[in-house]
Amino acid sequence: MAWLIIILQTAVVALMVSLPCAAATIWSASLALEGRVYESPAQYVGQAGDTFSIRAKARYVHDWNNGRDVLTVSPTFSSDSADSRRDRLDMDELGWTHLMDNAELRLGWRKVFWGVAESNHLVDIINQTNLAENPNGESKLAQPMINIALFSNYGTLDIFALPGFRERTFPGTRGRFRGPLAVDVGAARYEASECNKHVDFAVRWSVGLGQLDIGVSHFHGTSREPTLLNGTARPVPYYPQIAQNALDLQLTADALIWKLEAIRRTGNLQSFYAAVGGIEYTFYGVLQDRTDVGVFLEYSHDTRGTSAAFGMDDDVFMGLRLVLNDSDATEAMLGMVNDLNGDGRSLLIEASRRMGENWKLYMEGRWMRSINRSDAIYPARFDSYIQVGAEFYF
Amino acid sequence: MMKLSIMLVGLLAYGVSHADELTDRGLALALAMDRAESGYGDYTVTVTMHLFGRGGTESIRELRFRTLETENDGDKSIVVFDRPKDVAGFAALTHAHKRGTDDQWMYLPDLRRVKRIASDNQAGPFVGSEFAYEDIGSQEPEQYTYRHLGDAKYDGHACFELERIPVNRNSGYSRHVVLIDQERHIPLRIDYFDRKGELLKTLTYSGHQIYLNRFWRPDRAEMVNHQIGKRTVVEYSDYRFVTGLTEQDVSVDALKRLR
Repeated sequence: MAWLIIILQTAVVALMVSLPCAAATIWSASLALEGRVYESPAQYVGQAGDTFSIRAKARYVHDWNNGRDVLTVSPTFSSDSADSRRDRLDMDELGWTHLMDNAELRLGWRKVFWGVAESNHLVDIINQTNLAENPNGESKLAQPMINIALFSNYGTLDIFALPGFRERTFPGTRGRFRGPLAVDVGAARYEASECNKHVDFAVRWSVGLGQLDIGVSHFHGTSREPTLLNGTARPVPYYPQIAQNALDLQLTADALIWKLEAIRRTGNLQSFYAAVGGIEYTFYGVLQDRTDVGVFLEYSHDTRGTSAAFGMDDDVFMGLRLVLNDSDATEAMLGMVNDLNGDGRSLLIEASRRMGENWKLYMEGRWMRSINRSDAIYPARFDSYIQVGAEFYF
Repeated sequence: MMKLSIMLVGLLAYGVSHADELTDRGLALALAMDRAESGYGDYTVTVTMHLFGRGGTESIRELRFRTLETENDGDKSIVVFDRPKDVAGFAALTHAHKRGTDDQWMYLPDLRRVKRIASDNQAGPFVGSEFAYEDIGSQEPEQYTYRHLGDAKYDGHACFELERIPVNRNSGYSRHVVLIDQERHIPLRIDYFDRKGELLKTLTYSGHQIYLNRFWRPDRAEMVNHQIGKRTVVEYSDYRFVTGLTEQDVSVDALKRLR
């Protein structure tokens, strides 16, 4: 179904060359430098130690027709001193959106987020994970799509055709967060006879009913989450065809927020249920009447057991977020994931603050302790790290 | 609004003690102020905030607001951040309610994530400034109880002095004292008293201009925090009324298509 991609490309290029005037344009760009320091020396052959990386991002947004048409071009570039799998020139977004009465058409390479939980993103399925970039799975790759959103009093219905599958990235030979052998991404295999040309389909209905927000979604197509086949020299990703039905709920009861995400995924290889649910509570103005303290408690369950994504099969997440509400936007998040099957636990820390008008400093760390032998993150148990970065905004 | 007017008429008809009379006159002033302010339909405005620290340090925020008036309930509004650049593209949506807590959403552009958030944070500082969320939110007559304290002269204008006591228990204030221009029915100065009853902040509006021959809007507002010695100056520019905003432009989906 390469024609869909060609249509998308033609549409975007045609728009770029025929932009009408009487419109608004916004430019922005940023450059970040960051270093990652590991607690332990590398365990596997070929792995490097501490690394340094650079990341650049630009964003061009042009709108016309009274803001009803928007063109966005947002290229990104990143490079790592050790792992070439973290070298990437990509589009964070390249697309056109057109707003109609009660509907919106969105075409191009885009990112879409679904879900409500903090520690585990089960419902979020449209975009592929850029795992080489960050082991937490929060970094995503833009997905080519044709998306129509229909707005009504009964909520929003989003319909997606997703041509052009994007493979998951994995750390390379020099990278950390892998098993003894780096994944052979070049040898990826697919269940679908069209391989990565299979056009996937998704639909989501979302509605807010007072304090309750409901999302119901269905996805049919190539799984974003490959199974790693081990019979060959190096692990090979295998992308099965799946169907996923999902539900996400959020109840915002003043300072107390209840969250639930549940999925049922079926396929020839494997079928399972998974869910994450919990609460978030915020204490406002606790320190000097300014600082907000948020606490999180979430539980993840996955019937796949130890092969659950990110090892979140029977895990409790506890988190604490501090927001200072100062003029430098200082904030910090401290989290702990406890594996209820054993003593395994991961400690997570994230913090950031602005410096001057154009800089932002940030840090991120992850420490893993007593990880269970059967846990999905066991091979990477010596890859605890702390990462510090500075980003400049032009 | 309707209900309140009926209530007011009812109260006036019974016309009881002096204290009640002050309350009634206070409510009447608040309703007159609300009438002078409402009926614009929708508007957009660009806001520049100068945050001055104790040591004379200054940091700048640039924001764009769009607000849609709704019948029988609070306003629906979106604020988009342009500066500082690290938060450019962040946005927040508020559906204000005359009674009960508002609905609020935040848009995180890097993750493309819209997050519904608790709106209890009324007393919290807005973008690190001396303005609390409740100071910049939609002001509805139902949010306070009132007392007409008397008359005063301010900056050459004859003013009513109105005391407002917040109904919401999450408010950071015990009371406000508002000086209302007797001619135009617009607030010129507001003193905010903290929960202990001490004077906390003073907000002054200046440089009013008239739009659509009817709506007086300030070009400048200054909030001084007397207790910590910081202040925030706000400049309003590019006011546009009746821009044709619809519900669709102040919805959760609208957050995702801002730029």
